[in-house]
Amino acid sequence: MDLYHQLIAQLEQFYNGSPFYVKFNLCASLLFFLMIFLFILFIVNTRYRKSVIEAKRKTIEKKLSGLINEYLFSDEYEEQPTEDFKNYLQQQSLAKEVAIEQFLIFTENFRGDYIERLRLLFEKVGLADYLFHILKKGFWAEKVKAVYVLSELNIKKRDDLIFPLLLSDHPKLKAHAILYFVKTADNKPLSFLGHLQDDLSLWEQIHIEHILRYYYLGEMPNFSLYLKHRLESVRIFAVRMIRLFNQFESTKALIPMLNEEEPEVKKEVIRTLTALNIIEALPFIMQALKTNVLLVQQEVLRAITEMGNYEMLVALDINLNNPSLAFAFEKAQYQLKLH
Amino acid sequence: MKVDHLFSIFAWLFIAYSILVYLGYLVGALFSFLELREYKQNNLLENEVPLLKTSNLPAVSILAPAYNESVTIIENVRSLLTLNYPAFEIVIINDGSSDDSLEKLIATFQLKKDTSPHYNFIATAEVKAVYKSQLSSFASLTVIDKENGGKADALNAGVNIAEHQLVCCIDVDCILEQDALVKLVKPFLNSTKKKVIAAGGVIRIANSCTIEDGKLVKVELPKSFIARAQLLEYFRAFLMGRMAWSRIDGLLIISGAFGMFDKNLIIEAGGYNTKTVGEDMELLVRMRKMMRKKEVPYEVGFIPNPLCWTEVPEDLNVLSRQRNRWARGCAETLWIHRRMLFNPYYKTLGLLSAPYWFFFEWLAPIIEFIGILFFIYLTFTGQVNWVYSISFFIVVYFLSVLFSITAIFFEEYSFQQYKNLKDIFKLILASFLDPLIFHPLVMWYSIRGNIDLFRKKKGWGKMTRKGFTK
Amino acid sequence: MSTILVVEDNEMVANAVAFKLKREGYEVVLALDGREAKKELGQKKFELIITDIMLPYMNGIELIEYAKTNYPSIPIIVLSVANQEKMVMNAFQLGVEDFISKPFNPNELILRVKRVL
Repeated sequence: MDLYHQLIAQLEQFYNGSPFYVKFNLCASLLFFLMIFLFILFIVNTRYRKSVIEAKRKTIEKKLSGLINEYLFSDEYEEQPTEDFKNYLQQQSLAKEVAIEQFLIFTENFRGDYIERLRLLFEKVGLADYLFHILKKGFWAEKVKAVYVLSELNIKKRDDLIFPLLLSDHPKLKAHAILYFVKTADNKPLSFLGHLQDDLSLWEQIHIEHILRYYYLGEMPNFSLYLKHRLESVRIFAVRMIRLFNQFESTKALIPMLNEEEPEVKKEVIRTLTALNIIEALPFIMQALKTNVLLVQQEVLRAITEMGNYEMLVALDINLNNPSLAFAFEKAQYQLKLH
Repeated sequence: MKVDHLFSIFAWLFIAYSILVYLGYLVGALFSFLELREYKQNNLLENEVPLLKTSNLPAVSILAPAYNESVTIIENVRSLLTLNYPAFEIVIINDGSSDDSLEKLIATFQLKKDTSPHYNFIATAEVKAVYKSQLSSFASLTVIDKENGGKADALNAGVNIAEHQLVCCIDVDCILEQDALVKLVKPFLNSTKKKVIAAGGVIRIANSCTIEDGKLVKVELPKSFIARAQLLEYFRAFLMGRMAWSRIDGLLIISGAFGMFDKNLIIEAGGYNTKTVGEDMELLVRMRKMMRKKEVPYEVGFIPNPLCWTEVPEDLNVLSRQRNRWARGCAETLWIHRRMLFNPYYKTLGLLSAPYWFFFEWLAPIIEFIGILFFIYLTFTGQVNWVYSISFFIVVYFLSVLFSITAIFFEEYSFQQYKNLKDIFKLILASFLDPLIFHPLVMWYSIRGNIDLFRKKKGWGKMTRKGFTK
Repeated sequence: MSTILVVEDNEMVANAVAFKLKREGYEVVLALDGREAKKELGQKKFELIITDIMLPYMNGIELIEYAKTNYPSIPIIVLSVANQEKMVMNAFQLGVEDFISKPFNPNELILRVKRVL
């Protein structure tokens, strides 16, 4: 003990006798050393806690999957008591999270009346109310998850809570609100578009397209209704969907759009008319060559390559000053010569 | 008395500098943490199936320059062909290799000369021929055979020929995860208000990992110290550094090993600069300047997922050449764009990013080297204040270790690639050794790079590879 | 009563399938990956195998190949996401008795099991 006190005293003396810069160095070293030590402890502790939570999760999973199976495969599932289940979810904070994941897995894997049973159970044990609560009070990332789960399970009782999220500043929240309305729709899946304030991102467009193609069972919307939408991205989306779903009846509405101002829209219109092989539209498409935008001009040349012929191409009144355009022209010439 | 006075000045300067470094570290760690957390929250529910099934995803041209890669090229191209992406082409640019790379490619993929017209938007060394495969299963493969012109020149030739709107520039020997393109394209899909000009990813280290058929099967911690030290370095650079810069949109570099760009903007900016060895950094800086001048709102994306794995040199000669090149690239880029430094017109770029690169990336090894020379001089003349020197050394040492440990924490927090707790202890041990062994080495290489720069030395700095398949 | 080997890497789905089969009076053994399944096959006598295709360590196709060579008398039903046509064809070429694609209706699974046994 004495030795220890002596050592401390000596260190103190050394420290007090040192110039300021040595003092600074010593303090900083001590601080950094402590931080290193703390970080290492923290890393090890995180690993340890992760493994503890993992183990806890496993037991909860076992218990819950038993409960869900009991309900799902019982013959009189509608009368089956769910009090035990509900209580279990109340006791464990982790349980709700695990339960929601399990419901998602079941919905993803099952078909038929089991989906309906799952939804009923989800509501009965209070998980739906829990998600509604999050939608009212939660942090944005929790809200995103809630919206996603509700749309996957097709629970559309509280559209009113999700509706305001369409105007959210948070891009992911807005995106998932959009997908919710498309996914839960029995008909008119695009009616939300009327309320949209901000442009659709390409990510959103692709996901809407996916739901329409692979999940939506109702009548396919007439996309030409959205060709006059005030958001450019919605108009582009509509033009693309006309192409994807081969809505030939909408091509008449497309031709006047060649006079639109935005080059991106024009390009998309030309691409759709080409893909649907509307040869009558070719003279109108060629008119668009007059717009001095490379993007559009290149698309016109591509349309001629697809639907026109070599004579049409060389007869074009076109100024090839721009090297990119000259190159596109050369390429079109080459391809038309091949055929 | 005189020496004491000098010490005093030196000590104050050091205190100011270290407080700056310390604050930089704190802010960097905080920003990177926030950025990683936000990324994780945003991608919790990501499902890539819709992206893979649509026809509206922007098509991508992969550009891979190759110089004497005969040993691994076939395996690498095969692995690229299996990437998950709805529409992409692969452009291999054979930059005047002296080995049999081209012959191998022609034989394996049944290549035939392509006669369709091409246009050189960017001037390059002479393109001898362009090849396409006759087999429909390799229809997306194009090979350019050109005179040697360096990596930048090869990439420019690739940009000229690329069919698609986005180009993804990679090192041909990198191992990409199957969903690398789908993940890297996301920044381009999400933005509606700003133009995305480029997106970069994290580079991970593949040494000692199990690779089969050009695919990463099992992640292992590198066995040699030199590779482990580089692993820590990459953690610090990518998970801490670039993540934090990405938060304030101040990224100056997208690694040449894996990055995606808007093709038309590359052409508009004039392509890769063939006069520097730091072409990857120089291009992004130039594109940013161009956007600033056009006053178009833009952003640069950054994806922290482990998507691209590369073998780092374990041979000291190879490492020295690589670092030499990096040091020159950094100095050249800073010199070319010196007007940007402290220029408020460029905002974050001029006031934060450029000064950071100037002081901490370029100047730091030089200051350090001068310090060591000064210390040696003092030792020989018997003027060393040992108490000060030792305490000074200890602070610097602990700060460097702290950097690495924090970086390990970020790895733990983000993607936890090393599942075994033992590996983490090995990395912690490496963090303690790194400032003593690896760091002085790297510093010396970058000093050599700077010296070479003044003597005007150029070139690829050949990298000999072991090849992954055993 | 017949014993069925269920090979499925998702524990939830595996448990649900086992639960349903047990209700119908079958005896069920679960395996979470191909390797485990191979071990079980060596230890016990089974009347039916129900397997997923995407499995860790040893995928379903390899497992089917193995089972059809070493235990040719045991019928196999594949229960998997059928997003690759090639995979379905592959399974049938190896001689599996039936293919049920996910998402599936558990009642349908029982009917098909009854038909095979």
